[in-house]
Amino acid sequence: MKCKQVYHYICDNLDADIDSPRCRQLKRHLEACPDCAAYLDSLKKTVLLYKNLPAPTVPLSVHKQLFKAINVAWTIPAATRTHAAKRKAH
Amino acid sequence: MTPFSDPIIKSLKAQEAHSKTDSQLIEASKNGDKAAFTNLIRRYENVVYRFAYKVCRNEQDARETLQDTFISVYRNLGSFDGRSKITTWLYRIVTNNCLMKRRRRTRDALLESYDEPPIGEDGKHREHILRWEETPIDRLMRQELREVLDRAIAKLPVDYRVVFVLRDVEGKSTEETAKILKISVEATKSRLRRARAFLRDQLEPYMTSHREVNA
Repeated sequence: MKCKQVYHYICDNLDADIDSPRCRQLKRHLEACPDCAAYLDSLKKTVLLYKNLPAPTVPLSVHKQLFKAINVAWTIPAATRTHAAKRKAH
Repeated sequence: MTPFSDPIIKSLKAQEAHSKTDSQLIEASKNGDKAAFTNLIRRYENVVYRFAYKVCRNEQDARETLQDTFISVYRNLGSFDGRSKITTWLYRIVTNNCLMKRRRRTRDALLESYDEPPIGEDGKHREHILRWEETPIDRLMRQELREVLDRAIAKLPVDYRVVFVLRDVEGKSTEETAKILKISVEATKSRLRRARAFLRDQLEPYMTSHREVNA
């Protein structure tokens, strides 16, 4: 397995089953090629960082605004619901 | 005359709605049960808001997307046939809303170079790949790194960002991501590959030398 193949394979399968024949080839290559190993490690860390990046919960004011819009929407005939509900809520 | 006051009836209805499945809540909402619909919103408003924030990278857009999404859900309740999960439907609506809010500032050409590995004609790496520092998750609490991550993902075109968020952040399968976005599995894989490589390259200066990525 060459570096170029490794690049495409690890990009598609960051957490692939390490027991498959393809993964055994990959593992052998990674053990012998520090650059590919560092590249895989950095891709995994990129994903890990974004996966664990905190995201906000709905602020109370936004929650209230949403329910106000929904309350308005609930009373409006289907054809005109969206725009009228947003206008009334603001 | 009803033996219960209005707040008690509302509270009982809310408790009843709380124990229902998504499909039951949708069916009840279709039949005009407002308590069922508000319960559905309470169940998913944080999912929708967080996903919208991760894709839009902007609180104002996330707020508007939250509201637009649930009004759209309400308007289209009749067309939801329950064959897919409600989250698939919600993710699709959020994505469409975010895409509509964003003009495509960057063309696909920007990321096409990420199809090619950083390997030269001779089959060897063009430059030595530096090892990244260990990144304990508590470092994420540091404002500096969060800003670096925010700036990097904000540069990623939204078509690619949404694939990365669905697949790698939200943990959806490639197939489900493709279904949500109504694109092929191959297109999903290609966008994911480019998005990961783009983000990795954006973060590299910070992760290898502790210098901030230039905005």
